[in-house]
Amino acid sequence: MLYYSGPVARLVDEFAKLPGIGAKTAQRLAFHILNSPPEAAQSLAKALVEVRQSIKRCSCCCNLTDEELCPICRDTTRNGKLLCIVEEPRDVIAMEKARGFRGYYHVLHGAISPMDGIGPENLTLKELLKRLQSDEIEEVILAANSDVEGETTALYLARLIKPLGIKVTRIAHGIPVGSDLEYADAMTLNKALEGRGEFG
Amino acid sequence: MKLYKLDAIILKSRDMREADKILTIYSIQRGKQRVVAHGAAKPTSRKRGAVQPFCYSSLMMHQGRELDSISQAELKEGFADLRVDLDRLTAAAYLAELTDNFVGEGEANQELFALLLSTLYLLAAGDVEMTLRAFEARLLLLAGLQPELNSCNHCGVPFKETKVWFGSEQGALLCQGCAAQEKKVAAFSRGTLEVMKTLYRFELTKLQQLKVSELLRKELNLLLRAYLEFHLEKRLKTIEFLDRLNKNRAQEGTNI
Ligand SMILES: [Zn+2]
Ligand SMILES: [Zn+2]
Repeated sequence: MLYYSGPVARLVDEFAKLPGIGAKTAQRLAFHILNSPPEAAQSLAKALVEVRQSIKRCSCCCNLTDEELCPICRDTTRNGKLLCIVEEPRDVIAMEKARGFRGYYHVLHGAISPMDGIGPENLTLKELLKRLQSDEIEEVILAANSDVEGETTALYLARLIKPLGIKVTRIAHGIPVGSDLEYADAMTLNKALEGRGEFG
Repeated sequence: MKLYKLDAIILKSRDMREADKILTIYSIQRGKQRVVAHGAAKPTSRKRGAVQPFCYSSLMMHQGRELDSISQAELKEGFADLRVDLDRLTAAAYLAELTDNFVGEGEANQELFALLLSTLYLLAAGDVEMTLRAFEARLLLLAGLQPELNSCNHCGVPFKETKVWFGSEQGALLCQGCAAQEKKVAAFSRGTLEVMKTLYRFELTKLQQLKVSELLRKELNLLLRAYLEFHLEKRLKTIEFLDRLNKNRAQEGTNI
């Protein structure tokens, strides 16, 4: 049982709203703050407020940034013919870390999930269509996740974009590097086979 | 430590914490059930491929305190053709949402399981629209809610006119006279009722042979939807996206 009053209870409640944080962890975090010097709490509060005030969506790719245009969209050395569409900002980070892609991105901020009532209107499709009409984009690479929502999103986007005369491709799904074939499940194995490329 | 085996269709998958998923499944042994798939979001998970929505899989279950968990999963049928087509994939989502909302937990029903499984096979290859209609009609039947299609639900007189009326209050069909005394009614043609009767008569695998005009398909969709929404007391979320896809197809070439 939790018996805290006023501010402590409120802080625990706020922490418990965060993803992956249960009641116990929320309590631990709250007491950590209470046991730290006042400056620590000040600086955390300031960081929270600032991030919310200064971070917005890039006016071009919809990724999160504190400027009008994000650093990637400002980079003129990238290949403007390639546009990679991802679900979340963290997917851009993953792609950039892998360093294999030198085109531009578009962040959807979600995936279509009809069962949850999340439709195309909840994604950044208006911004995407505007880019496709004005930019010199020749190929759109659909890098939505390979779960049902990601596939639904990719199929919907393909249907939307193909009539514009732009090449649409989907990233291949297959066997993780370094893993044994025998451990792969049937669905992954078949996907890997479908997405095979010429070799040697 | 209690273990048991299930032959199940995965209806829904939700993120839990970390890499765990909560699944809603429908098995031949136990009907609808919510279970945990630990680590199913990890790339190295061996069960991941078999616990995706709309998979038919053999599951080794481990009894838990609140929810039972999947200790092993083997894919029996992944319905790959379903996953490469937007209309088929969305229809499967609708099928799953409808089943999830229509049946309670822990009521095994072998007939419903068989219906679900054969509907998934048909959705992967057959006429998507008529397959969904047949599923809806049979779902009502299996739930003991088969609609009366031959006579007025209020006065009992057999239908004679070319039109019948669905009363939203009664959740049933009415004759012209009885419908005139109701506020919320929608008209349907007798032809639509005949198609619906055929859905009950025909084997699912023969649905392909059924030739139904665009108009009757539309009416049939609305009539079955009226019945289902009367019993569900709400509209399913997938319907909005499903309708949007149908509308786009009708006006081929226009986007969004
Ligand atoms: Zn940008
Ligand atoms: Zn009557």
